[in-house]
Amino acid sequence: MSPLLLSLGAVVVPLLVIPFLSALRRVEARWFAGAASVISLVLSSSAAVAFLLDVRSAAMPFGTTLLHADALTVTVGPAIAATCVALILGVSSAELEGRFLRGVLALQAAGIGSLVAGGPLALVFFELLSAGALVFLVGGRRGGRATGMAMGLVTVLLVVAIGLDPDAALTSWAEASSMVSPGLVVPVLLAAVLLRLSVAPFGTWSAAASMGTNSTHALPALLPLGGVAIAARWLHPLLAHTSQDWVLRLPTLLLLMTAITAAMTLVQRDGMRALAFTLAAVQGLVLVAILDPEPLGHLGGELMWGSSLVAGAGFGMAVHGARSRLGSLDLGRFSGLDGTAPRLGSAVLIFGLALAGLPGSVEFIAQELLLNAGISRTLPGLLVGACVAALLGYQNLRLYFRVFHGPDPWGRPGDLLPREVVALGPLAALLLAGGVAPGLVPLMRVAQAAAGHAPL
Amino acid sequence: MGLSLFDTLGLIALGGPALAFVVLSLWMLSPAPVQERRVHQVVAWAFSIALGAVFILGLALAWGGPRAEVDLGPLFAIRGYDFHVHFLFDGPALFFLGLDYTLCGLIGAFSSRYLHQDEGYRRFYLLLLLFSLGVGAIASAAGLDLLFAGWEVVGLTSALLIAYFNRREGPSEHGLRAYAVYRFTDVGLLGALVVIHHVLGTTAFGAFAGAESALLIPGALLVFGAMGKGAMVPFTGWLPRAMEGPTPSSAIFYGALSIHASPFLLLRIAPVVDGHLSLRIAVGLIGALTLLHASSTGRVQTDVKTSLGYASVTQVSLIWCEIAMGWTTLAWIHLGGHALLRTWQLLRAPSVLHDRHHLARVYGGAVHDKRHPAAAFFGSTVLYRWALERWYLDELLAVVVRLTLAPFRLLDRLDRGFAETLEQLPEPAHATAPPSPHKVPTR
Repeated sequence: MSPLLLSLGAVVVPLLVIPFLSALRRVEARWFAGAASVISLVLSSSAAVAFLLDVRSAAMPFGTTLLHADALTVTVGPAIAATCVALILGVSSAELEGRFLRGVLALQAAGIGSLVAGGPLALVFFELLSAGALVFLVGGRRGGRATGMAMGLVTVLLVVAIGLDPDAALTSWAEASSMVSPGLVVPVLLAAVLLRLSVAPFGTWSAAASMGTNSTHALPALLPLGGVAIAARWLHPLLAHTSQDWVLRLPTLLLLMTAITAAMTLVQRDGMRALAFTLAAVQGLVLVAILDPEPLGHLGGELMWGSSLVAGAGFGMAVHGARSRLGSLDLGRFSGLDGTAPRLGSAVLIFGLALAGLPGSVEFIAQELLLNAGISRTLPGLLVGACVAALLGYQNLRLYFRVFHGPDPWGRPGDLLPREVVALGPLAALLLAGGVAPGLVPLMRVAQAAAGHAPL
Repeated sequence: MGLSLFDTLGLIALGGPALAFVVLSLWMLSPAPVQERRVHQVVAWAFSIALGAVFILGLALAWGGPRAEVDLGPLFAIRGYDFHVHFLFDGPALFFLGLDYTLCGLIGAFSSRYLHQDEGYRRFYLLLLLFSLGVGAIASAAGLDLLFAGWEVVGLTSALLIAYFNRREGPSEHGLRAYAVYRFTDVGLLGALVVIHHVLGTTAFGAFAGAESALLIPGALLVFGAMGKGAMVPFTGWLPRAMEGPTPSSAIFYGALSIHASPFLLLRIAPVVDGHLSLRIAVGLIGALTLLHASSTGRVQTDVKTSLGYASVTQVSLIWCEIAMGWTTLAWIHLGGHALLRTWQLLRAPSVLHDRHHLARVYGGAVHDKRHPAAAFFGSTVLYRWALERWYLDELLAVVVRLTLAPFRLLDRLDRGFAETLEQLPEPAHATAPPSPHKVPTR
């Protein structure tokens, strides 16, 4: 079966289930939504297998102006699906709401949809669906207004980008990449992506939404489930055809913004706000890499997108698990959760370090590729990139120490539940498997085959 | 891939502890706790087998046998960049690997009693295995890529073991401090690795010879990268705090292996350092300054582990000076001898009072120096205080960190203020209207 059809199935299944969830009780709804999400995961994983088995699909990405599948689709698609499965299974029962389940399923469909979109118009459709799902998730809560305004602005910017170049909007990616777009399209798209990925100084909405005692609903907003596809599919080829001065300085500017975002994590006392900045910094790195004019950096960015989704979801779920056990995460003191929840502590540690590029994880390979590409053309750029990676590693260990070390907390909260193990276990396995055998990752397989280093 | 007998032995030397780590990790996931005796047995077997393999390889090499190499191929290879998993068992590698497994095995045996029935017993052994793997990667890596991976693992295990007594806040703070220094200086190592990739197309140590002239900047970055683990000035402050960890881990990290990873790195890149006078001067100056700092500060310490820690830094800084002078053979001998001696001293440290009492019994009276050695060394209270305050380096670094973070604190305040302003905007009319009596609340 073709990877495109399987990926399309992975988009449709979650969308089909959403209307029925409101008729179910919370626990039933979780399992129903979980089953739909798992089916989507199976379909997108099958697309990856079919892609690797079919040599032609690697040689010639196929599709029309509406639909398209390539190595990026079958690499990041399963990562998005796995992330959403973990979100659905991992959320604590006290915070489980029908709205959360519907929102996550919509994000899953929109995320995979943005990967199978065959041109700008289809992509904008799925990105708007994604933005709508976020507003639906966070709306009416703390940070809801900021999120609504940010997503509204993203919508306006994307519509403006389509309006500025309507001819390109109706073409396929192959045609769109060879067309010269008006100069204003690039900054408009860039602003939309920065806002969607909440890189400083555009991160107010995600940081605000992540605070509070019942903040799991905001976790999907912190993950790169949307926005990156615009950069990877649309913005990257446009930048290649743009010769304006500011575009040449763009990587440095983006890197500085990412470094500021990463540094902001160090001054946070609230663990959830620190988590928001950490994940935003990782998204900033993904963006820097994806927009890299060198193929090596671009590949690193695409790989980092998938791996940061998986590691970020694992880290976010584990940190939220700690928050739901303690009530709040104050990084100004030691909370001592390790005494009663050592396995949860191990999960936070493993995912946190994997997110920062622990050797043996996919993120390590992605960071290696990123640092060896465009940003290393200047020594300051290289050192700032390395500093961001170093800051993330330090911050994640700091969060682990502050939450899990120290005297035992009151109430002796419990360790990982079987449901949480089911949610986090596969994510950890994915990260380590990709790190130890990167040849299994379709993006890497295609890149290595193109370089003549591996059979496809 | 055909492996010769020696290559297989090389694989065993690295694979033994790796396999033990995987087995213990999986075993610890089981609901029933693993018996202490079993943990100890697994670790003892792993280190014994690995040490045996290293010993045979060393003997073979000494008698003119072939040099073992294990090339597991590229982890990934893409146009313009590849990451080779390539281990090389040459003289320096076998020397450091032998030291690694001998001392880790010794610490493993010592800790089975020292940490008996401690709640972190299993965690300690798991981290010990991971640490020895990291050192193994540093020792036998054929290039900087793999060395960097080992370097990261050693830094992480170091921080986790300093914070071993995790119910107390002090050790955790100190573990974080050590990790902050490691990560900061690792930027140099990572930067060097990338620059060397660009310049030579490979980071294999074998490619450095003959290309020294192009490697001044990466060489400087590597020297900076080595400063953190070696606790060179101004990064010495983490070392006395690192002594909060259990004594066996202090011995293995700050007496023996981790702290010597820094001169090991410099010895590995000796062609680059030797090829640039400026680098030699930098290494020598850093070593000399640290020597002065550590030897003066160490003399006024009031607890035995901290003073042994500073003694370690003193010796490591001397090794840096030896490398700067080009006396690499002396540096290797110094490295090995010091690692063994300091491990023994640190392991004896908890018994120092017992030893003093024993001596007092033997000599029939209290054993006291007539005059404190520090008094003879300093002569003036100003210098004494200067040393007691550890040259005010911690205060200096604290000011630098505070100044660096100040703009981000301001940005954070602005961001929070902006978010609050957004949240306090007046609600739209439909949002504040009372709910319709016909509307059914959603579940």
